[in-house]
Amino acid sequence: MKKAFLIISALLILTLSPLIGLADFSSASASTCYADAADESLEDQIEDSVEDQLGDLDLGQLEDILNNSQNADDLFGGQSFIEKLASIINGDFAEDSTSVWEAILNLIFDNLLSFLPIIATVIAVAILGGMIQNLKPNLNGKSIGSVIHFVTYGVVVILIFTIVMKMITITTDTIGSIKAQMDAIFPILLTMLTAVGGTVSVSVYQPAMALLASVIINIFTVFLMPLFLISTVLSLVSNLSNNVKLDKLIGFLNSMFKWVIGLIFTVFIGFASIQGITAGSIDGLSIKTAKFAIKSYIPIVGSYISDGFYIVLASSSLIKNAVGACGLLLLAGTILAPIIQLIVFMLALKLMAGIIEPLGDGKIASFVNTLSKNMTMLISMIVAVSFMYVILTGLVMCSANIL
Amino acid sequence: MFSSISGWVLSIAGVVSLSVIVELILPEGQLNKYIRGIFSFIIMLVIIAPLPSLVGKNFDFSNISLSEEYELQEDYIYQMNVYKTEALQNDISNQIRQSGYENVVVSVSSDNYATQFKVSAIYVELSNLVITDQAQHTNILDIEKEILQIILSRADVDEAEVHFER
Repeated sequence: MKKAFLIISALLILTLSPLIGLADFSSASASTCYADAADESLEDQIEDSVEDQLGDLDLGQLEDILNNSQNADDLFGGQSFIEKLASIINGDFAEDSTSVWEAILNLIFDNLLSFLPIIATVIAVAILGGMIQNLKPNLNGKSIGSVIHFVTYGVVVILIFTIVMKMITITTDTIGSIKAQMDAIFPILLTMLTAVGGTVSVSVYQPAMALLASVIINIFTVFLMPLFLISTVLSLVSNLSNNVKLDKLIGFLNSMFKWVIGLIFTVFIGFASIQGITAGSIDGLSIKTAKFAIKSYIPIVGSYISDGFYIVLASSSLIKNAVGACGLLLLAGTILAPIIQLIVFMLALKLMAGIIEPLGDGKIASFVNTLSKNMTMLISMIVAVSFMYVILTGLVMCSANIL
Repeated sequence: MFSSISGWVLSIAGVVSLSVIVELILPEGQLNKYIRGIFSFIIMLVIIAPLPSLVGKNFDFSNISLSEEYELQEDYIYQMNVYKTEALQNDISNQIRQSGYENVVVSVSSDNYATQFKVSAIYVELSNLVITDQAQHTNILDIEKEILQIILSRADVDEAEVHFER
């Protein structure tokens, strides 16, 4: 009975809602007609104020970073940083997401093609080695087999390590360039936050940003990167012979890597977000109480946003959010290529291991497989750093918005 | 710290490679088993070698400090404060004009070099005051009171810091 009543009332509301909406709409349109002239001038005022403020902002460092990165430049559509800022503030943000997908697909296929020769060579060497081992005359028994394994293994290792070395440089370069971006964009975000009036937020984010850009990045490059190298070297040695196995030691190093990265990530994100959200709400409250106090004081005055003072604040917070958005776009342009490269390489190693395993040498297959597992360490390093950066920027964008 | 770790890894790699080479060179025989055992023992020793030195060591994490401090763009904040001061001045003047008092000169003074915008004092000059039809008061004291109300509603400023000049 009760259920039926509920359903009927829900249906009633559903059927009536367009009418209510219509009434709402007509009244809204009437009021917008009424306020049209005022709105237009308000928009112009905000636009003027934004233009003035953009002229005062020093974005030189960010422009340099943008000019030095080809991928980021593509993602910005050939615009300079300040032009992109202006276009985001004006609202034409995501004009073509298809071009981004196109860029990603192009990157994937380019990388796959560039890895193909090495993949083919490694597979050929491994299969040849395996075949020789299977077909060798059973004269001198074990030791010839071992020598053949040694040689094939050496060739495979040399071939693969040329790329692994390249991947390591790519990862360190990417993390370095993320750090450079942080150093360029954090002062601007803090400046904007101060201009909007988010003093408490600034006092929270300043140490968090310094922690991320100096200590955490240092831990990544000084501690986690060597951990990856050690694990890779040990996996190389471990598959050298059947007798010496270091798998458990490698497992220890890998799980240490995972725990350290997970701990840093969780603690940092937890502290930054809880403190940031609290500080943001305190700032928002202080800004709002000021506004409410004024509004109740004089009832004659109309909308407060049309006041010049609030226009200055509103355009500052618009610029703050646009700077954050542009920073994230720049970050995406920086990490997209390396991450795709690493992922394609990792998958290529897995494919190699899969092809080598049935025909060739089991130990080579297991070495290639361990290496592909280790490549995820490099990927997770870049992803973790950029994710922390994204969250921090997002928090700054969300806090002290007064509109 | 990094050099000792790399030394540790290199010694592990070296011992393992040595054991593999020895295994290749040695002929098949009874002795082979024992040699393998000895090498396994050596590898284990190399792996655990750095552990004793870790025991009883006081790790000093105090040197991990926030070496970086981000500097705000002072110029920009200064410029923003100038904008805010101007905007506030215009707002108050407009409001006073709408209330029916013309030719009132309002000047807002604030510390523009401070990071946080704060109005320090507001000076109102009433010497050229023209009272129009919209005005509610004609007495200068009442006018001052009304203007004070307007200013206090607009700006976050101490009542004692609003100065009138007749």
